[in-house]
Amino acid sequence: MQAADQGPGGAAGGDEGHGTPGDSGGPDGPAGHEGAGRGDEGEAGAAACGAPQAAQALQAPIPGGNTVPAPGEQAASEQSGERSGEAEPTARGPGREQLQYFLRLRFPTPAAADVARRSLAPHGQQQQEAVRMQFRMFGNVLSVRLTAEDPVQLEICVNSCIEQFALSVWVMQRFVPSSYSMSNPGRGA
Amino acid sequence: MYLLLLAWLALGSHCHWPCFWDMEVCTAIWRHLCSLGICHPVGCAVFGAGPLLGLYEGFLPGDTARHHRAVILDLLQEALTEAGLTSQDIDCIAYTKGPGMGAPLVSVAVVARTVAQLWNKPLLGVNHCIGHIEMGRLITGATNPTVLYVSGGNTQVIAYSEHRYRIFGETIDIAVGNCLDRFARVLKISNDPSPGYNIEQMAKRGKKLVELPYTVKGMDVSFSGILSFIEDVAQRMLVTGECTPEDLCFSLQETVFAMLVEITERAMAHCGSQEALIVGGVGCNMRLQEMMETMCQERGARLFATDERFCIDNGAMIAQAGWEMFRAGHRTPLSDSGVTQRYRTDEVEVTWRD
Repeated sequence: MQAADQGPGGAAGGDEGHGTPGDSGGPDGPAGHEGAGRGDEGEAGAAACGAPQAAQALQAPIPGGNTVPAPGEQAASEQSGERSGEAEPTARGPGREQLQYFLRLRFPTPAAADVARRSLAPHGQQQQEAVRMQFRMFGNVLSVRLTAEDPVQLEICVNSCIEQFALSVWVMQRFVPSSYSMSNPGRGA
Repeated sequence: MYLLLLAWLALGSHCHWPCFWDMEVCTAIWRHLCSLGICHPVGCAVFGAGPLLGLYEGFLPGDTARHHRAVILDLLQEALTEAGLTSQDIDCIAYTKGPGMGAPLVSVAVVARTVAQLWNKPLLGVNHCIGHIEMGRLITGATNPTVLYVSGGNTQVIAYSEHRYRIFGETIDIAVGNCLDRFARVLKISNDPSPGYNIEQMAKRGKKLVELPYTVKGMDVSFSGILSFIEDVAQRMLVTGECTPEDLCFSLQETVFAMLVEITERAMAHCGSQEALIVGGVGCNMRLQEMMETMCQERGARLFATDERFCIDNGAMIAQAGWEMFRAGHRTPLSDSGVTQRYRTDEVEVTWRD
């Protein structure tokens, strides 16, 4: 388990390989995610045994772009141009333990990362009651912090988040492959 | 002008399919839409290449969402290819904002948002119920009907007034389609092609009317008590030979449909309406249409109804509603594009009607 105050470290968990939208079974999600952390504990930890599997789809070769890092590869260091997506999690009350899960997703371009962020952000806003989602961008790396008190809710939300990211990436790969390496894709309404 | 409609199939709740809606030349596209609708009827036994689900099960949100994710991109590509369109031909992206099951709705919305950004097109979140209404009005030509919206997930009597589709009456618990579907499970009636259809066929062979609770509460109806009652008595009566499964199907239909006819008539009397329109999957039922027709004739009113291509959830209905919204200037900002499981019919400002 990774402590929240130590920050996300290297990628963990997951299988290498290529996936398709048709793959069923374990959650698909991006490589480079870490396990849940306890906000009030200082212990370092490996990736949680129960952490979702890494995304196979995001490790698929991207036309015109680089593959996302395989499990074990160090996540990108923070770059300038950070953008914060969502509201900060509220301070926990006395005696209430907060669980946190960090996702760091590396995209070929900052624009692709932003498309993915904007595709998921509305859903994150709706989840604020049970699970708080905070998006941040560091260049082409999208960082997501999920915070909850209920581990079951957190797990559900993490799985859902990974699946949705994978879906967004698949759309980008399928319909506008060049945009994956574009610097400025079009913006929707 | 083409409206890309992303409306996705959430089995048993509402149907969403990607389709394109060209208001000028819709014949070829319509054939495409019809083929999608007919090839994939509402039924948990149809999941493409995946394993067949149990024939007597309902629809689970997680399974449904997984199915959507598995097929959505191929379907979208197929729609583009068959329509002979590219992203540049598309004017906006419409998707189902709600109501319905959360997980499938979210999957659809993610795709819609991503596509809207990639293609730089405006986004339109459409209310599923209004999709039914607008499709019904388009197909039948009804001008200002009192609408009976009946499906597996919704049961409402609706009339338009001052830029809102007002809910005059509705179920206070489960939808009529849900009642029928769950009763089908009690009798182990197949879901193929749909439990409601099979109940309808069995009901035609019923001869005995079993008295069931009749629960109309003012303008509203209740079906959960009827379901509990019939679940309780069905096995006993079948074992003792008091009635046949066909009798039970017949009795259930006669009872629940009579309730729906009553509240629809009451709404028509209140509004002074001379038109009634049936929409929603249960609207395919010919016995319901027959009973509604009788009521309308007695009132000197006119009944409008469609066949299974348009009654059952389909992508074109979202396209139609989205088209009306688009022309009226509606746009859904990304920040407001979240899905709503309980999206009320009367929450939408219907600015495209006088």
